[in-house]
Amino acid sequence: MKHRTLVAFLALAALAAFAPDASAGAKGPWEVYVDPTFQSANGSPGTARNSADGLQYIYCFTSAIASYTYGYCGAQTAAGVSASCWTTQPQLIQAIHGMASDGGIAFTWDANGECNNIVSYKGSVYETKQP
Amino acid sequence: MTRARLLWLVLPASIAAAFAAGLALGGSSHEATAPAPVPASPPTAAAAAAPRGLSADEVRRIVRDELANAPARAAGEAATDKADAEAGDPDALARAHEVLAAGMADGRWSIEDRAALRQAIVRLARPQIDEIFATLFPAINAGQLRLDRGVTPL
Repeated sequence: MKHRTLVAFLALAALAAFAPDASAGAKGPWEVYVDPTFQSANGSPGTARNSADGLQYIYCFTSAIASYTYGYCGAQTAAGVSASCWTTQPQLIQAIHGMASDGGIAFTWDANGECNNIVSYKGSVYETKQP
Repeated sequence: MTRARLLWLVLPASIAAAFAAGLALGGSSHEATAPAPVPASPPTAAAAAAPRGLSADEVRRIVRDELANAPARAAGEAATDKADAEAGDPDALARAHEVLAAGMADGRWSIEDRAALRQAIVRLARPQIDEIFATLFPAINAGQLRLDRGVTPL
């Protein structure tokens, strides 16, 4: 039940962020958002990078240490609220590998800080990273 | 004495003298060139090689034993390596906990903390890394550990 709520929450957040305007195709921004209550974070790496606050970020990576391969996602809001999760689950690591450079990321975590859901968004609506 | 009688007297003496001379001159060379006694049955390879140390049969047995034991030995060495990798480095684990404890104490996760943790975790075994991550990330998510500006946890 909690999982469904989370997925619905993430979908609504994505839709709200990219509501079309009258003059152009739908586009971001999608600020980084962290919800400690629902243990979820989401946002667009492009929007985070282009933001003026100097605090926002959202990203994921995978790393291999000898026989240990893990994935990690981290996010921080403009207010400095941060969230992190890690995973060794192959499906979630695969989701990280499939991420677009300019897209959207959402993730949720459990009490141990382990990721239990990683979403990779791709599409025209996401902000492109500027230098 | 007739000539025929004289011949009968000289001839046996000449034969005896020739025989004695032959013995005196050729006795030692006869021993040197004598063929080796023929064995009753052909010698086995083992018997032929015996004076050099290991017999061919022994060498074969040793090679067979080595080949038979090699996989077990290799597996044993691999198991030892795996056990070492699974055990991880206790010093590195202690260091990782130390870094986390220091971060928790001041509530900050600095770039130095991150660097120290990175150095430690590469020497840890899988369960130890899980253990460290299960401490680090909940602390960040609970706000007990605040990341310094621009610093990521890992």
